Amino acid sequence: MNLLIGITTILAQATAPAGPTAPTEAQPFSLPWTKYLVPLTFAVIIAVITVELVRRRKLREEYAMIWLAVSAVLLIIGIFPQIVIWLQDLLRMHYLTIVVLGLFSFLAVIMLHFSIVISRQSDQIRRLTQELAMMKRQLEDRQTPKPGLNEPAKQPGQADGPTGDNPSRE
Amino acid sequence: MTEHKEYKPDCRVLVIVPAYNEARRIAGALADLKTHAPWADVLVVDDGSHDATGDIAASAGAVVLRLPLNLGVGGAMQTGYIYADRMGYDAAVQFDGDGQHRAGVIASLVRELRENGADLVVGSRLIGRRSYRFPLARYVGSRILVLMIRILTGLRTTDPTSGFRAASRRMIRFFAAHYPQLYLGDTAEALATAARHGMAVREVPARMTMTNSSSIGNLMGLFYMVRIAIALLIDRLERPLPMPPEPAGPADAESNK
Repeated sequence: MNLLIGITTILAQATAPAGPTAPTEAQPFSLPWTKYLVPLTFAVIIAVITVELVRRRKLREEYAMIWLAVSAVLLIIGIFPQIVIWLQDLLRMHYLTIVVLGLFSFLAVIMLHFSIVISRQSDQIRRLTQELAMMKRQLEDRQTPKPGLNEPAKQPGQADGPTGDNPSRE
Repeated sequence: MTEHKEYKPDCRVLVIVPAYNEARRIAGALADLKTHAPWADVLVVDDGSHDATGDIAASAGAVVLRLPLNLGVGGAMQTGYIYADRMGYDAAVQFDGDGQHRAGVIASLVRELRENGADLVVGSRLIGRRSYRFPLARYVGSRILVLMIRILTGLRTTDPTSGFRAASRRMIRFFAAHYPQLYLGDTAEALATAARHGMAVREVPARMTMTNSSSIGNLMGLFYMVRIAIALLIDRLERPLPMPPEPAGPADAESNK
């Protein structure tokens, strides 16, 4: 991912106009060809990699959707680079700043999303692990019944067994 | 300790011993339990140990739950609470497998639970006759946690990092559903969570044996301290957790066997 940022940054620098960009409003359609080509290239690369990963069953469809959406956004930017120019004027920022900012916000959102997914999954793994330990115990008890082990409530010294907890139930 | 020897709880008590690679010390802890709390059932939660912890515990007569993965103390402790909840225990005691806690104190923890209607009783090293000497850095850290818990939840404690505790039926059910998982932070956070959810938290004096098991340096200690402090702050901001519903009935413990 860092590589991607690096490449994009370099390309963006190469494609950024030398001076302040405010006057470009006058000639919005005389954009350098790289402003079309670079986003389009990335759109195609991301789409190809995503489809290939799905084909090899290494990426689930729900995550493939995210990357295809990214590819689509790049495609739109590639076809209509005027969007970025319009943003330049709106936010009074350089082309490079907008590219970096866009990438950063995208990465922040996707990392947050993955943190949430990981948190949920570690909770699920924990629950499964606990349940598994419990079931292994039950299975062992059934296979090799030892007195006092499969029913801890009836260990010697606690003769009243499960009924003993009745007075305490609120 | 001797004054509690006569006290025999009027309920079913489960001692939860989480153990991770404690093969050398678990037998001692279990022998202590057998001698000083023979009326309690003992559950060892083997937290994915690579040594013979589970086998030693099983041959000592404890019920052993073997976690296939290492979940950390929080996850292991919660496993114990889930077990206690399903088997319908009236009280659960957290007991370290490394010999730090003394089984003779369990009776006084459970007595406080039963006779004074507490939900969570903490064995404190800092009240009563002191025999435990904190290293300075840990003492300072402990004071800061005391202050934070006091400010955030209003609960007055003296020893929030003590892992020697007894839980009521209500507390067991709550911890079975929600138990803090932060490494080394589970004790303080569990206290704050319990207090925030209306559990009556009390302390009784508990003498403990010094173990040199704490291998954390001062710098790492500071790191963990800051982490626990942040966890306490986040915990305060969290929405109240739902109290899990009462199981179907007294037969539940039987059917879940």
